[in-house]
Amino acid sequence: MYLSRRKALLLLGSSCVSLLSGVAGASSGFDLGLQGQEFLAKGKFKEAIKVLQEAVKIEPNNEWLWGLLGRAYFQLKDMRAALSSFRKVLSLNPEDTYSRMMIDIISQKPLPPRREEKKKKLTPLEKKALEEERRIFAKLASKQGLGYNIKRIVLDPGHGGFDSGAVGLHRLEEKNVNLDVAKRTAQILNQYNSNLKIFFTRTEDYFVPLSARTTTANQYCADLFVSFHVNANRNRKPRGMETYFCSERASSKEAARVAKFENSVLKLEKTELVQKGYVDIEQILFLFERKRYWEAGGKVASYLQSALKKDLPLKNRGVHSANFYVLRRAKMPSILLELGFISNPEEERLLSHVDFRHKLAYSVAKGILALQNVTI
Amino acid sequence: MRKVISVLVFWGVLSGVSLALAVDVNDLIFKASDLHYQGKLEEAEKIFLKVIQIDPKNEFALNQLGLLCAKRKKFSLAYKYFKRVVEISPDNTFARIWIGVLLLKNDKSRQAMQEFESVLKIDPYNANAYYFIGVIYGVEHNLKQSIIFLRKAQKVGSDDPETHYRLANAFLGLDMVYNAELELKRALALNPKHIKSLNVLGWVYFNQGKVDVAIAIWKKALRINTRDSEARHNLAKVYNELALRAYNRGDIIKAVEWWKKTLLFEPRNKSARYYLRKIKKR
Ligand SMILES: [Zn+2]
Repeated sequence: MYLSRRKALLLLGSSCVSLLSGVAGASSGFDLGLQGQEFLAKGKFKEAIKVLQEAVKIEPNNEWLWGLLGRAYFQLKDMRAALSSFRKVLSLNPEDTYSRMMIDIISQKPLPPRREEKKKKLTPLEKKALEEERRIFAKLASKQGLGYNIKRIVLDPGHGGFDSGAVGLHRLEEKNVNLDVAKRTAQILNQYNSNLKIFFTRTEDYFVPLSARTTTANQYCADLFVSFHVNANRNRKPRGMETYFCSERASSKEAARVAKFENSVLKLEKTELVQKGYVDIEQILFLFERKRYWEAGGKVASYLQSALKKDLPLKNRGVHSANFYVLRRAKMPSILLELGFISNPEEERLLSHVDFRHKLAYSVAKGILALQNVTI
Repeated sequence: MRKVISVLVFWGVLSGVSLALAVDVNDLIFKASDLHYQGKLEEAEKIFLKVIQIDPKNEFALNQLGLLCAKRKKFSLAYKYFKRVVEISPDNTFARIWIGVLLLKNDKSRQAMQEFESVLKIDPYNANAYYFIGVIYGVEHNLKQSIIFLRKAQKVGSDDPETHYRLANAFLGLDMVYNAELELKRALALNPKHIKSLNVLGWVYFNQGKVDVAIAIWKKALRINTRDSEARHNLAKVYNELALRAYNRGDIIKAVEWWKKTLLFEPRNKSARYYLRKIKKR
């Protein structure tokens, strides 16, 4: 069979090496290996280990010797040592089926703990890291159990600069409403909860590409991404506010239309490639993570929409989902608010008032603050 | 030599079959494993199925069948095989870890968490269980718990780039930049081509004002994979911001240079395109 033939060849190979090297030493790795093999066959495993340990000292790159040693340890149920011997074989010959199989067999069950390594001297960065950990980590409360945590929030005022977003009949521009409401929201959030950290994708009237907005959210490792927008329609009649979150498919035709408008000219990334004959655990984790963020985004959207609907004199158009580029790439739950229709003359009038914008911001902030008390 | 192997595998793998059959089963297991490692998944599966016909409680064969099914995207069947292993042998932590992973795949994080916790009750040194619990906490953005579990995973032997990378992200979310930097460097020491780590390391430096260092790191990421969208987006964002600032202070030459660079990394970048067109018109 494959194994015995290959091993036999190997034996021949190592015997040649041993003949050469055996001239100088009293006993060569090969001789010791044969002794070890004999002990193994007789069930004298401790003796086998003793000679084989000597043998691998003489010939540390001889996979045959390591394989025998692995078997001897395995018989004595020293699984940690058996494992590292078989791993050594694989490092010398990655195609050794037997050792790979033995590793798989051993790895099914618990292993005794690894011996602790001696501590090395700390590098300057390690010292700084340790000091930082003592300073910051100790102060943090531990919270066990599941439930999404929000401490860092990125506020994203939609459009800006040469991209004015939707424009009302009386020339009110969406970009300015978005920025003003977002800034007010931040102010109120900070006022009520100083533990929250707020970041912006833009703080003034300049254009920020969609890709840069999500990049900002990832740059700061945010826990929540809130995009501020105002809706528009060719028809002057539609009015009210709605909240979006990200999902693979749009929840309705209208949701798809809004996503198309906000996505602008960007093409979505292609779906991830799946490799055949191989389970990519990190890919499973990536998809799990993204779905969890989308699910949490859905919950946040519902909470916010119901908070807004209680407070505001705007028609409740509900929660929808669609594939927004700006939401998709974020490594956190993300939502997109459409706070009224700028194309509706009555709502344009409301949106142009500072008092009303403050009211909007207050409701959004209140909704975000309330998230601290619910399980997402 | 062959005999030695058979006897040894017999100890580890077989449950309750006669000695005569044992030798056959061992041959089959070896053959199937060999096919599996060669990537011949369907052939391997057939032989492992023969093994469990002879020895229905053979944990190793059942685990391998589960793994083979997972590799062939037959996840619900894989789940059944691993469940069967745990019924036969509750301390088979390999099967339990896989059950947990497949639960995560179905977005059942609560049940997955319970499975990983049960592994730790059986084996308090199981690096995988610590790692996956650390990941789940990380996804919940419960950063302290995530760090605690990922560190435990490292302590009992999971010294791989992913663990360091996830630790780094958790540290960054707590503004612990030195720890983040250290973990990213450890990830990169283990795998210098770990692009995800390079991308985050760039931000660690950028957020400290070391813009040039950050840019150099993302360019390095692109040398490893020119199509890495994360690195491209990072570079485009930073160059666009630099250009806009130069433009606002009247340094048009610098602005043009940086917007051109923006377009190198994001050819459809709306900002760079708009301003370059505008400057050209003047
Ligand atoms: Zn908009």
